Amino acid sequence: MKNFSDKLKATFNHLLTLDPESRTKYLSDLNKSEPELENEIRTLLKAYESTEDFLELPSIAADTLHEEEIQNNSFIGKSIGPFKIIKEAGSGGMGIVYTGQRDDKEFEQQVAIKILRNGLTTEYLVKRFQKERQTLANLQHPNIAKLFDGGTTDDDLPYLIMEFIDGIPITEYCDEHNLNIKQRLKLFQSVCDAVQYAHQNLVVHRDIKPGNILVNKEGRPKLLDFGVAKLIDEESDLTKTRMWHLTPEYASPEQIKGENISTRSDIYSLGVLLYQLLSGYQPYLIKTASPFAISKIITEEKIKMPSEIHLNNEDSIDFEVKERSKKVSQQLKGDLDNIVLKAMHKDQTKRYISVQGFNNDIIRYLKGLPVAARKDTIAYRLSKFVKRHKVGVALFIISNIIIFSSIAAIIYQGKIAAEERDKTKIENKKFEKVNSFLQQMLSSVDPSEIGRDVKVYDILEKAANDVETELSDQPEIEASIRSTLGNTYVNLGEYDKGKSFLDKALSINENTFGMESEQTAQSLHDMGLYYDWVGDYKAADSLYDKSIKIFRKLLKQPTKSFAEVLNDHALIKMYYSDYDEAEKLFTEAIKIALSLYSEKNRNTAVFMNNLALNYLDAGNLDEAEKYFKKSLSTIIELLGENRPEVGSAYNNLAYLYMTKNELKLAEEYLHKSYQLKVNLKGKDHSDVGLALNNLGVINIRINNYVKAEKYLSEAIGQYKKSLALDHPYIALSQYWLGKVFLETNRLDKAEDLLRKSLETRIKKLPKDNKDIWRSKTELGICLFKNRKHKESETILVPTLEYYKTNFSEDNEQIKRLYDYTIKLYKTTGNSRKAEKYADQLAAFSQEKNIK
Amino acid sequence: MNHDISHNVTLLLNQVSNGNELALDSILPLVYNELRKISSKYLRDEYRHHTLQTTELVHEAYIKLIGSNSLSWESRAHFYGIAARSMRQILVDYARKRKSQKRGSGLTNITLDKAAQNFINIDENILDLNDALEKLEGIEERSSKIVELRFFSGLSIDETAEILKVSPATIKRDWNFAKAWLYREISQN
Repeated sequence: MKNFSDKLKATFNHLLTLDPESRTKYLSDLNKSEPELENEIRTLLKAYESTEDFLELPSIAADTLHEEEIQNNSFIGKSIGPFKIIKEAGSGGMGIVYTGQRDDKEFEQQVAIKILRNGLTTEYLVKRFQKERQTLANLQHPNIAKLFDGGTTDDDLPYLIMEFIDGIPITEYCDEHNLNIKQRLKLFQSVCDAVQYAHQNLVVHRDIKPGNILVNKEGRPKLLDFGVAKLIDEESDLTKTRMWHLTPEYASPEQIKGENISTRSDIYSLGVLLYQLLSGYQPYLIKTASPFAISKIITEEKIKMPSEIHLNNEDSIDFEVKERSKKVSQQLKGDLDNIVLKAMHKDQTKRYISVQGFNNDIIRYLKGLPVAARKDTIAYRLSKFVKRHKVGVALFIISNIIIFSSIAAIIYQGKIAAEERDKTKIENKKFEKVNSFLQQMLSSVDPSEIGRDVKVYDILEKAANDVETELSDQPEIEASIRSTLGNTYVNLGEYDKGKSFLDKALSINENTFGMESEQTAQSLHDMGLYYDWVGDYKAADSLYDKSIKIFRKLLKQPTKSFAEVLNDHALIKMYYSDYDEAEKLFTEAIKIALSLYSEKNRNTAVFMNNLALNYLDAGNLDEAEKYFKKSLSTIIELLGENRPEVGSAYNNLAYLYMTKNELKLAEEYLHKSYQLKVNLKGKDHSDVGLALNNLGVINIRINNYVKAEKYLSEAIGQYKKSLALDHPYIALSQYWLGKVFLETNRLDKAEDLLRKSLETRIKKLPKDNKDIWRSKTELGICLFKNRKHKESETILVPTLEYYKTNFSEDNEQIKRLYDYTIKLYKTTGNSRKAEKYADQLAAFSQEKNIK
Repeated sequence: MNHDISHNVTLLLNQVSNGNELALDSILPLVYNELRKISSKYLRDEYRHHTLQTTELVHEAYIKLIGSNSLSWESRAHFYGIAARSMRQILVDYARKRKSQKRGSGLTNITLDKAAQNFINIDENILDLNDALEKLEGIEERSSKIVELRFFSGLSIDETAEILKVSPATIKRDWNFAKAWLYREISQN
């Protein structure tokens, strides 16, 4: 056919160029060879002659048109199903919308009937109509225009019978009714409900804009026009259907770019809608037609915050707020700004994951709760918290101060106790974090004003619950809150609770930021602190180690967090008697602290204190004294004298002087420390325990056993209130009290306590820790005195050997062991052994020059 | 709203140029509606006795829809093609409705009488032409397109040549052929 027509055309045209004579000849020749063609040509040529004016400049008589238009459309008056078409309600792009009334007098029902335009029956558009029908048929929601029926007319025009909505676009409605921000938000939430519902039914609307959201007379918004909607799992999602959005102002960047469109595109459009509802402006003013420019604007241009744009409203679209502008801006600033921005984030993955999440944030905003969208800080969350509980804040403040101080005290403990020292946990990090956590809650309250009420658990419980129920899309925040809560609980002795928060925080950080990230390093530190607190130093050690390794790897500049974990690790090293390593770590921590702040900073003071302790343990008393004094003066200068940290510093100095055997000075400082603690926290407080412990010990030294017993018993009592029963602190005091009983011949009591102490120490400490062996020594002696010779032997002898091998410089203790071993063997009648050991002792004494 | 439409149509047209044919279908209703709107403007009483040139309508639609935006020639081509198609459809619609309402409308004069200021009566003429054009479309696509562009959009030979990117001579030849063919077709019925 094609060839024929080509030939036909060509021949025809050729003939037109010929004069009539040649033409006739050509035709007669052609008649012989191709009669069919000749016939065609001939008739065409004939027709052509009459076409001079044919098809030239057509015009239409206006009156003819007029008549047509009056009739408008032949549909009016016609029936479709049980409905009669009344009048035209409007015309959309694809079809005309009529109002229809139910015909059969069964009941009153007004509907909207949308019929595809007669001239637009292209395959594609018909399909679109059908698609809309299918989509709507499945959606039943109070805020989505209902579909009742669909079909095709006699002229094969597809139609839809829908819920009639007598309303106006949502933006207009808000303006006409002068709705305030809250009311607008509520209205918006209904729209969110509708969209969420659609999403749940796997439908993405793709064309959300004010024109498609009508609010009826009852004030109910209805979502319309699912004409471009798409089923989420449709295959064609994979093919690039670059459907240009008809209203680029509402189109998401991915729609503009023709990328994959998902429910998040709807969220974007909802964000734009919200922007407009709140501020009265559209976020983008697109004044260009160039697709390139539009694309650039939508995908790259940063929009002004709704609160900002309000401030310069010379040409407001809808809102008549020249006067109210400032006030509105104030309301929008902060949370609402951030909610809108989050919904409109150019990066899909950074938007709300679901409309539900979007809606939830609005709910939170309306309730005065922290929103997920806000770039979060703990301060922000807590300021919200304080705002919400304006009435009860005073109480909270008081109780917070208690905790604040107690935590400060607990973590800034001086290292005390006689020869046996216990490891001071200068867990600065905890302090800092909890410090800021609480401090912000307290705003400007001076923590040294205290009361006795402890209601902080209520606050914590609330906060803990909040984390559970308000799981936000921001893992950073969640992890951070969980960490803080975890640390706080641990500080207060709620170890299990604390650990569970810390566990979760660690796993969130690992998953969100990776195994080798700062956040994970921080969490590892936190976990380490937990173990530190419960006395599992082995676990703490390895966790700190891991944390430090990560920090070293990641950090270009040393940070406060890094210094803190160095400090904590150093403390462990110190506990393990690795003084050199500890010194290195402390020194590094101090260096960092000095570079970050200056000499007069709490952290610096703390690290110095610890370094001093290290020197003390290592036997370098002069350096120790130097740093203790430095630390103390720093604290007093920074914070004043009535501070728990000062009390701890006193403790440390007391201990130093004890070691130097300047007992009077020692007791002086101990008492100062104890007094301070009592002043600050009241007698019943747990960290008074260490002070008591030390007072007990020092009294043993000066042989005041009565006082010693009193203090030590009190100490244990205190500890048991807040520490785990198998905490090394308790073991320490049990050891000392046991010793008191031993000295005062209350052997059963002594045995009981010493056993307990040893048990704990074996459980919690590394095998080569001196405390274990000290406990063993005393227990062995006690057993001997209590006539439990067999058992005594099993303990004393190996202990002696161990001391000789590992603590060979501890002459006094070794001698003591020898003495009792010999006594033991003498008493049990094992003279041979008694002699053996006597000889050894002699040799030992000579070697060491003791008598 | 005006502002919106002109962007949209331009965008869509450019899309079409970029190969997105679905955009065509989105443009169609826009153009169609616009043309109808424009047409109906002339239905007020004062215009009753005026005649409308379809070219004027299309031109007006162009301004409304494209405004001062610049279009590539491709886009312009698409526009006119679409406008022509729309215009044709509108006229056919009118004719059909009118036909269904009037019985025995009788006017069969197809030839245009210049003296009568180029009136055509819209009833069977247009419908016949429409049918014939459809037939031609099946045989000789370019020719029928040229007729559409020239007759419904009112483009000149040169303009049509530019739109279809062929030489004016080619346009002329096709035009001649089409006219002959259509005339023959119509008169045979």
